[in-house]
Amino acid sequence: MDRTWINASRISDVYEKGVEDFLEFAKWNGVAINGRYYCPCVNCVNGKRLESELIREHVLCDGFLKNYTTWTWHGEVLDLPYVSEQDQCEHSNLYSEDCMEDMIRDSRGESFHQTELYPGCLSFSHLSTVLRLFSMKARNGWTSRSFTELLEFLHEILPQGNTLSTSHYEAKKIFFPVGLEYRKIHTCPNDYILYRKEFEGLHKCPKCGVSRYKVKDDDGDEDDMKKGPPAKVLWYLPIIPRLRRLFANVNHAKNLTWHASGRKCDGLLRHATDSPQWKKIDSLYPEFGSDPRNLRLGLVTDGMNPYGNLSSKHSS
Amino acid sequence: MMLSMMISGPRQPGNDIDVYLSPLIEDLRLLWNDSVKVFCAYEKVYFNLRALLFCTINDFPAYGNLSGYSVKGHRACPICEENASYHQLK
Repeated sequence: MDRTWINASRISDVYEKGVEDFLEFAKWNGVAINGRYYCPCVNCVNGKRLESELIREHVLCDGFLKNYTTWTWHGEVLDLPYVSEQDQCEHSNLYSEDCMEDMIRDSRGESFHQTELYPGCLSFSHLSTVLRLFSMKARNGWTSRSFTELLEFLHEILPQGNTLSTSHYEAKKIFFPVGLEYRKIHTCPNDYILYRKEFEGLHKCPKCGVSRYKVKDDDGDEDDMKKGPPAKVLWYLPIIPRLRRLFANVNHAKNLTWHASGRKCDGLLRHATDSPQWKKIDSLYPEFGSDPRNLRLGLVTDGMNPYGNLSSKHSS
Repeated sequence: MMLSMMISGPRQPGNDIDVYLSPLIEDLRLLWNDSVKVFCAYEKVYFNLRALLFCTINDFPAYGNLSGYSVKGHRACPICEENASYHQLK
């Protein structure tokens, strides 16, 4: 609908016709209470409900709100930039797929990435096929069983010697290297020891004698407990594989040496690299300092509240 | 930024945090003393990666826990140590 009349002169015919159009629009689309609509004149500013007659009078005499071009108070739906769901999905999909392929390639090496789907297939690798199928599965909510059936069928369709996985689980295994490892280490609830190395097989703490497992009242003798949920767990995410992964990606590897190559050096303190500590380490251990790829880590400790509840008594 | 460990439980470990940090310290020792062979994708070479703990970032009470120094009372400042003038805020 043309709404340029809002800026036209109030005595012009265009304006008058526009006002009539607006009242018609409000009548059909707006929600009226006792036949009253919000008045879009410059004085009421959609704050008051008035009868159509009064609104006409106000708008003609005082003027229509110049910036009220989307008539949301009169039943118009906000005109957001329209992106069809399909487009959106495909877009995000393409992006994530690319990242995913990169990640898997980083973690498993080029050779795996280039495994062809069947002998002589040029356009698809095993990995890209499975990724496409998985994105379809996720978008359309296919069940794992239907996915397995589809894979089996595709396996039959494709030429002999194809490498396509034949079950959902098999296909999913390709993604396993993406998730990095972590170790869950049981600990003494009184913070004395970690159940690792020489304490690995113990069932209670050698220092305080408290059971390794959660004890309930009706479990009887605490000393006999040999299994159950652990009383306290430390999640350890080993850093070495993570650093390896960082270096396995071209961009990240480049960024890791940014402090030595891509930085502005003008004698001002711009980065931790300019600090006396950093330089002292360089001079104390020249062998370490000379290779920019060597890392200096910072350790940050803080409590966090896992349940988003300010008065929670839990700490992590 | 990487999450390297999560200690869950109803209480903070406080001064006993050293027990929990031991696996991390082990890895850091390995990274400092022996170095780890890592492939650098940017330069396409294998090299020996070494790393050291450069700084710690924490609030003041946690600083006390990590450094093992008092952050309360007469010698409250781990940097000034015995020179801390504890009458300053009188």
